[in-house]
Amino acid sequence: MYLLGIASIVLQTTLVQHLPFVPDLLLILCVYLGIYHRSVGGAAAAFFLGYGLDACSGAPVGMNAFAMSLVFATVSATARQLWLQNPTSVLCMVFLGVVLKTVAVLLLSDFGQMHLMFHATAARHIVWDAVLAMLLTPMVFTLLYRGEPFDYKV
Amino acid sequence: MQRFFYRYRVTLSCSFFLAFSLLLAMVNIRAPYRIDPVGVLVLEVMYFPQLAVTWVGERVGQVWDRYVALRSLRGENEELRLRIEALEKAAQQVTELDSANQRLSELLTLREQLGGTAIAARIIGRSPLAWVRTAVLNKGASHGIAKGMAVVVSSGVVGQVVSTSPHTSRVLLVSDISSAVDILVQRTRVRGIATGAADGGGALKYIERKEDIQIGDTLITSGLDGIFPKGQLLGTVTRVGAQGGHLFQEVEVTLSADLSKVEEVLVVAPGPLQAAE
Repeated sequence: MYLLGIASIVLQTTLVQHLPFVPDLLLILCVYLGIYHRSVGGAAAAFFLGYGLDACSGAPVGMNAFAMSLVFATVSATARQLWLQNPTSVLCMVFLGVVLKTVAVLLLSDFGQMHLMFHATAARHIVWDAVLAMLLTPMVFTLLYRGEPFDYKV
Repeated sequence: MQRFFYRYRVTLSCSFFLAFSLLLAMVNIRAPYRIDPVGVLVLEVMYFPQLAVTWVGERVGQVWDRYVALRSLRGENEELRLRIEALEKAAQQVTELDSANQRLSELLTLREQLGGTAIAARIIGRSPLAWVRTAVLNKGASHGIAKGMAVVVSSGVVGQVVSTSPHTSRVLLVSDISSAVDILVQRTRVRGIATGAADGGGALKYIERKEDIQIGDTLITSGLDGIFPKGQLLGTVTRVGAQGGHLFQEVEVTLSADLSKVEEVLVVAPGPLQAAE
């Protein structure tokens, strides 16, 4: 799973950047962890995914780590109460994840008194990021689920 | 206690990571410099995978550019080929115009040198028979051309007008056997009659055996026949022979004007008879 996290960060920072629209692969991976790997390892993986993103992007350290941890916590708490292993629920969780991540980053940047234009730009892109992530979710989830060991599949 | 931690391990770990990341974020946002103890390690770990993936991406992109994008080059290639054909055609036309311009400039210069009446005309037809060497001009009596007028170009004598119609003229070329032009050897001033030869060249008649004439001698019109202006170039002597018992030398001449390629000519009115030198 950690190798998968590294591969996701590498893809997110290299090939994906050449596409006209940049999907958030790490968020989809984080939602997957929250649904299928509700464990200490999953929580740690989500944290390190965010930390890796902070290290590679130059954002304040901890900002994306917090956002990813928040998404994982929310999704795993929801998955404990509701049945999320169906396509509709997964898409809803991804959408929720995008919103949560963006809001968390905006709140922390507000705390850091960052420029208002950052808020406007982030808010404008939230819908596009959510739609793009939802479009890619079935493919990513299928690939991840097929890669799981047999006894791990629910 | 252990049961508590085990039972709520996910919640506790989530809480821990949330709190830790929040603390990190708060500290880094407020701090004047970046506090990132593990960031350097992360970047180093990412370095080779990023390098490899970027390299692969660039190679794939090159393949796409070289092979897949070549499809569009076919249309562009065809368009360029047609454009080149059109440009070559235009260049050829320009070359042709340039050549015509040069010939006409030479004719104009010759006309100024000759003075008097000189009418520019174009050869529009030639005799279909091999042993009759004539040409048809695009101007005739209505343009002022009359029978007996000389036809010349800048490189030499072409022939003589033998018949006219209102809009055309027929010219007997100097390469025709029945043609006769009164000439002088420029070097020795020996006088003779130049006619055409069977091979399309020229020949000299009535050059006595005692006369001095050599290969390479230039032949010019004498002006004594009242047809051709004096001093017009006819040709060059290429062979001199004297058969035993004959009174006259056999002289072969290469005509200076290439009669097969002449296109524009000047028709010159006959000047006054020149006195013999």
